[in-house]
Amino acid sequence: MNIKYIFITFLILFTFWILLSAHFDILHVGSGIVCCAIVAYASHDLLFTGTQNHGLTKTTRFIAYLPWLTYQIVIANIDVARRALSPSMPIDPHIFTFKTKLKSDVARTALANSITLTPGTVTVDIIDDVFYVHAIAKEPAEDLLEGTMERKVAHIFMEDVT
Amino acid sequence: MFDTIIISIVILLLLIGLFFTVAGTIGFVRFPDFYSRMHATGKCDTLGEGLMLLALIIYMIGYEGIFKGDLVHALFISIKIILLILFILLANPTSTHAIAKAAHDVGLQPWKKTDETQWMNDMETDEVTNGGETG
Repeated sequence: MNIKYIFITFLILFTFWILLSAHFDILHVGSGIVCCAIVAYASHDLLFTGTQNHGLTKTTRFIAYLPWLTYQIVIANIDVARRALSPSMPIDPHIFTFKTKLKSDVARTALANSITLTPGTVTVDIIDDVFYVHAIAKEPAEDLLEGTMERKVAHIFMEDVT
Repeated sequence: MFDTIIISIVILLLLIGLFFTVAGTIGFVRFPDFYSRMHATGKCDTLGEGLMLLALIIYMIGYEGIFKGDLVHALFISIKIILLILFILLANPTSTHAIAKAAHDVGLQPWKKTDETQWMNDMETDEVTNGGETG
């Protein structure tokens, strides 16, 4: 009954194997097929857990989110480099909390990782729906609390945060 | 001519990547406490290493692949480097968060320049609650 999922898992694993080995003789491809088959049979339920709603739309939206995230990462790096190198060292760090309206674990993980990657903020802890965020100065915290990023993540995972 | 342009771009990207890595390291030394040092190392490494690996991809495809004519080999190595970039993009914030959470769980207090209430009052939104003191 799970033969479709096992097969898809096998295909993903075997593509990965080919990419990493880049050898096409019988020994490498053969051992790849055997290993991927065993792993696909044993752990296909790790990759496909339960019911997946709108998996393709979410993936597309996540890929569309990546350029914006990359832009934010570049800004974050320039910002931190400026604070580290300037003689007066303009930092004013604090830990603050805010409540998220995101429901699923995946969405919260995506938001937490995005917060850590973007300017001046690091997610310290998540307890239920409360995020503990360490900000290096006031401006990054204010930017985060405007909620642009939360809306973008909510859009990816089709959740309502308004 | 072509190989000179490729090598120039590669060197430029390597130098920018080096700048961010060095800035992160200087920040690591200069910043006052554990949490703010997380910012320096966790962020600058992502872009610094990303740019350096991007330089390696351009070197492999442009110089080894197109200029020297071994394109298949170059493409396979480039894909491996792209996987490395994706791994860093995923692992860096996760490990930064894991270390910060460990520090927060044992109750390490962040270094503060200004008073807690003053900082909160300066923030414009009312969603904020005072949460820095929990351990």
